[in-house]
Amino acid sequence: MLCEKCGKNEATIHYSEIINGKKTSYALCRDCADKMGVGDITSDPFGFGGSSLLSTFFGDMFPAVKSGRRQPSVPERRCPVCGASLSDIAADGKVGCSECYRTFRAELMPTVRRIHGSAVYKGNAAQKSADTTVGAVPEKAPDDPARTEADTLRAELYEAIKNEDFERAAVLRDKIKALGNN
Amino acid sequence: MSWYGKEGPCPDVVLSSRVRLARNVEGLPMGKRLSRERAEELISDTADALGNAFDKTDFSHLDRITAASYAEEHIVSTEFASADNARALYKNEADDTYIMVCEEDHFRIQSITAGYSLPEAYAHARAAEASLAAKFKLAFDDELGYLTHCPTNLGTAMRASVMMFLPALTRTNGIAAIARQLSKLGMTVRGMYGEGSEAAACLYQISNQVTLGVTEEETISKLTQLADIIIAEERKRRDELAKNSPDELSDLIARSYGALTHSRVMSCREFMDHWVNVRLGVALPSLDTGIPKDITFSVLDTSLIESQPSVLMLYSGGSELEPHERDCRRASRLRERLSEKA
Repeated sequence: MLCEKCGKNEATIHYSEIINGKKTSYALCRDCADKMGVGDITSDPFGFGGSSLLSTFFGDMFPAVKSGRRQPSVPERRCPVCGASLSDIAADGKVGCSECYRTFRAELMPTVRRIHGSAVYKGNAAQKSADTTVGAVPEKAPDDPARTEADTLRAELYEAIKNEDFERAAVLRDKIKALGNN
Repeated sequence: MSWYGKEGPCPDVVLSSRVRLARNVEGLPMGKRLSRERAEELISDTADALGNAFDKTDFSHLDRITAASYAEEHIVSTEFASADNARALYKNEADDTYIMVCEEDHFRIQSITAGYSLPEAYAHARAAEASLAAKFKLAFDDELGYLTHCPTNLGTAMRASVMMFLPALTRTNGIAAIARQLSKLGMTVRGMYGEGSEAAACLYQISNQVTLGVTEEETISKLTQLADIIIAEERKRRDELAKNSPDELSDLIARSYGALTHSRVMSCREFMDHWVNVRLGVALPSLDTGIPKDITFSVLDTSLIESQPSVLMLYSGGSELEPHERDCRRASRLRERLSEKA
């Protein structure tokens, strides 16, 4: 059997991972397995882990990116906050900012599913669980009008960014900043 | 005093417990897309969020040896220590909770506690997170959880881990089987201080891989269940080793203790071998090894950190030393550290 990654060498390593009950298996040659950091339990002792595997598979997620240049007449879609394009994200294996997850949600979800299975978030967000989490304190003081106003402005800012209304977004950003300095 | 100077629960097997949370600020570019100016602004806003409870260390202007020594103490990642972007570390007074600002994510909150104490580390990390959440809008999505620079960390964006000392499992070839079982359960094991597949100091970090579809409590509870099994197995195998060949094992441990307390030149590799033996000896008090009672696990764990190249150079005045000079300083430091107890 040939390696599923390069399609050239004989696959000598069979790698399976079970995440949230979903099993994914790969047949790989030694070179590709090494590149992906699969099977080496000694690597990256302090790291958060996992990104080498991801960036290798990112290429497969976006055939248009992998196969070469796009048509010059079609401008690439970019994240309105950080300016990253989908090919930038594929090349880095990392997003440019949190807004990228919204801008490129449809394109990123298959990769997210491949890494994490079909699971959705179940954890204790600080916003939701302030009163039940050990050691946590409420995110904001309820009697702090500046915080409430800032939150409203932030919500408006995200709407403005989503609607690509950047002039309004810039005004809102400055207002939020001014509140923070008071 | 950091984790290694204190003694926590189950010190014979677990050196430390760690919980790390990755958090980002909504709408702020990450990684290489974050300008130096905005990174510095974030670092300064973090100081406002944390108030007087945390001290700042500016890594942008830190010398190489001091920066690397933080990584050797496990307080920052090696990437953070050697990066060249604007970045800072915030450390609390109790010296158990740390926030790396502008690591891969905007915030990497980390709590390290001595021994087997995951719930404590988790509580510290969440408390630090709450301080940040009061100032910053943290990037979050109902379906994907905390939004991270790398999609592998989405969800709880939490890595919980225990650093375990497993000499008996290593010698009886039990680690590979553990690694296989852990990977099936969404956990992973990594050798530390090792080269290739060998973990020189018999130290392993057991941590969760899965971050989406599970709660933080479930992750910690599962990790604890697995660590409990590993602790019991390691202790069982130690007792078997001691029972099957008490004279050979006592001799090995006593010779290593002699080497640590009497050498004049000690390489890092040689130190690790002896350190493992002596730490095992302290864990098996029934053996006649001649190790004094006040050589405790925390004394040995402190000597492990102090013997690392950058920490050693920092304690020796902070200038670069040649390998041979380091080996001499290491031997001298060990004699001081261990004989002052004897």
